[in-house]
Amino acid sequence: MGNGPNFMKITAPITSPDELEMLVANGAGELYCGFVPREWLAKFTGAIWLNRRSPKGANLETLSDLARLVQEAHRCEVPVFLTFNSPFYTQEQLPHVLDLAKSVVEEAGVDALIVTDIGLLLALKNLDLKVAIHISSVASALNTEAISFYKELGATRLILPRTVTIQEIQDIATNFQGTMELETFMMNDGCAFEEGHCQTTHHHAVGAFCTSMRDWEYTFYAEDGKINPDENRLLEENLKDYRNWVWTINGMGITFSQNGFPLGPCGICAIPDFYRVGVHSLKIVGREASPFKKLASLKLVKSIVDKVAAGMPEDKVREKAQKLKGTPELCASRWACYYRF
Amino acid sequence: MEWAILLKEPGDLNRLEEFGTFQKISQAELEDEDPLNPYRRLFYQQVSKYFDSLIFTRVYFGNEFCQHLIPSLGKLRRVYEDCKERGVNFSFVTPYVTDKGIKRLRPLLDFLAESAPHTEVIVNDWGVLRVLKRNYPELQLVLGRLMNKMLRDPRVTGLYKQTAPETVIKTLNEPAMAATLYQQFLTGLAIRALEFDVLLQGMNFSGLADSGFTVSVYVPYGFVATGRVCMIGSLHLPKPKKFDVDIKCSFECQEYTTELHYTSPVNKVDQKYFQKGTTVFYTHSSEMLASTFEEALRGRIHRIIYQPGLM
Repeated sequence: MGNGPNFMKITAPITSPDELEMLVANGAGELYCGFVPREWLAKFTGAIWLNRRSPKGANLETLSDLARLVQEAHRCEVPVFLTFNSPFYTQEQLPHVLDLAKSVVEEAGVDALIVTDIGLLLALKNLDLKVAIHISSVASALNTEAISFYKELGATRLILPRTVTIQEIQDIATNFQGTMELETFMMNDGCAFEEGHCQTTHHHAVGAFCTSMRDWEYTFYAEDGKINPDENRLLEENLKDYRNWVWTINGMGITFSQNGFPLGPCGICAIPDFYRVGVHSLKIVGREASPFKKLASLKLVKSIVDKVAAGMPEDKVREKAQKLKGTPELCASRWACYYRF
Repeated sequence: MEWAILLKEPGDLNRLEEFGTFQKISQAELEDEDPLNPYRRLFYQQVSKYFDSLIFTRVYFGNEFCQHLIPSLGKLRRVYEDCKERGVNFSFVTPYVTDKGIKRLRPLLDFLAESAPHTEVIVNDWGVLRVLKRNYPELQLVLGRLMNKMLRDPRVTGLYKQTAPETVIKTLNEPAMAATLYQQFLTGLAIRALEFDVLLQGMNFSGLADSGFTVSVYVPYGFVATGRVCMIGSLHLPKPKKFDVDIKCSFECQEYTTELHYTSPVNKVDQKYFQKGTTVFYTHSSEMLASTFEEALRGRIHRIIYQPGLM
C-alpha cells in the first residue's frame, strides 16, 4: 500500500496564492476557494453572498490572483476547485454567475466548480464548459437516489453533508462502486442543522443562527400543559448540553489543543473507514480561517492519512489520531466527532 | 383558491369542521395555555377579514422535517380512506431522507400508487423525487417548501426589507425556480405545483403564476432551519449519545415545544421562534398573513396550507 496518486486526497481551503506553497508542501492534494469580484459586491452588497462564505475574508477578489493561484497549483499537479455554492441564484443573478464561471474556467483554468443550485447546474450544462462539476454539501444529498439525481445532471463528485454516518457513507460508496467521487468532511466547522436546510445567513451583524440561539431566553411547554419540576430540570439540562454541543461544533471559540491542533469537530478517526470504502477526498473546512489554522488542520489530517497509507491497523490509527489531537476529554465526549463510533 | 390543512394524527380529521369554524376554534383555544394559540387566533382573525368562510377541502398528512415521523402504513391508510369518505382531497407529505428513509417510504408509496393513483405527494428531497418518477409515475408530484432555498432568516430579512437597495430586495424576493431553465426542468419532470413559506421580506410569485405553476404557501409558521440532529430527541440519552444524527427516537418532539425569545442586536426588535423536534420555526405577523391573503385574492397564490401545530 502506498500514498500514491490514486490514494485519498486531502482537499484544503485557500484564500490567497501566498498560502499555496505552505498547503501543498504539507499534503494538500486538492485546493478549493471562492472568488467574489468587487463588481458583485457593488451590485448585490454584503447581504447577498455569491457563495456560502462571506465575500470578505473568505474569497479571492481578483481574477488575476485566481489565475496565478491555479497556475502555481497546476505546476505542483494540484487541482483547484471553485465554489459557486450559494443555496440559490435568481434569474437576474444567473447571467452574472455564468460570466464568472466562464472566466474562472477559460481564463483562470480552475478544474471544477462546486455547485448547489439546480438552475445554475442546468445553465452550466448548457454552457458546456470544460470543467468538472462537484455538488456542494449545501445540496443536502443524503441518499443514493439524490446523488444519482445529481450524477444524471452531470456531476462527477458529491461532497457528502456532515450528517451522514459512516455506515451510510459505506452503503452509498458500495452503491456507486467508484462511478461518483465522494468527498467527506474532516476538520473544523460543524452545523447544528442540515447545512442545505438552514436558510439563514452567517452575516457578521447577526452571526450563525445556531450560535446566536445559544443566548436566547426560552420557555418549555408540554403538550399536556404541565411540566413538573423534575421534568423541567431535565429539559433545562438537555438544553444546556445542546448549547454546549453547538459551541463545541463551532470550534469552541476557535481555540487550539495543547498539541497545537484546532478544537471543534473532526473526523480523523474515520479515515481508515473512508479509505476502505473508497472515499476520494477528505475536506478541511474554513476558507476564512487563518493560515495557521489551515496548516495545523492539514498537518493533523495528513499525519493520519499517512498512517493509513502505511497499513497501520484501523484501531491503532484511531488511537493514534486521538493521542495526536491531544484532547482526550473532548474525544471521549463524542460531541466533536463528525462521525461517531 | 383552495384551503388545505396539515394534520398530525388520523383522529384530527374528526375536528376538520371545527378547524374551519372561526368561532368554535377560538373559544376552545382560549381555555388552555398552548404557546401557539396567539398565532392560531391571529390566523383566524385575519382569515375572517378577507374571506367569508374557511372550508378545508384538502388534507395534508405526513411530515416534512424528520424521517422518524414518516407515518405507519396503517395511519396513512386510515387518513386516506377517511378523506375519501368525507369527500376531501388528500396529499401525502414526505421529508428529506437517508437511504433508510426511502425504504420506509416505499410501502406507503406502493399503497398510494395502487389505491389512489393520482394522489399528490409533496417532495422535499431530490432522491425521493427520483424514486417517484421512476417507480410511481401515476402519483402527482409537488415540490415542497424545503426545496425553496430563499433566505428566511427573520433576524435580518425584516431589516433588509426596510433598508436594503432595490437590487437586493428583488433578489431576496424571487424564488430560484422562477428562472427560465429551472421552470423548464420542473415542467419536464411533470411538476406544476410548488410550495413556499411566507417570507418576512415578501415574495414575488408573479413569474411562476404567469407560467401556469400552482403556488401554495404554509401559514402561520415558516421554518428557519431543520436537520437530522434533534435537540429534544436527546432528552433521555446519556451525554456521549446526545445530538447524534442516528439516535433511537422516542418521539419526545410530540411532547415538548421550546419557545425562544430573540432580540435583534441590530434594530432591537423582539422575535419569537419555536424549536420543535429537528426544526426551528418563525411565526407570521398579521401583516404577513394579510399580504398572503391579498396575494391569494389576486390569484397569485392558489392554495393556503394551515398548520394548526408544528411537526
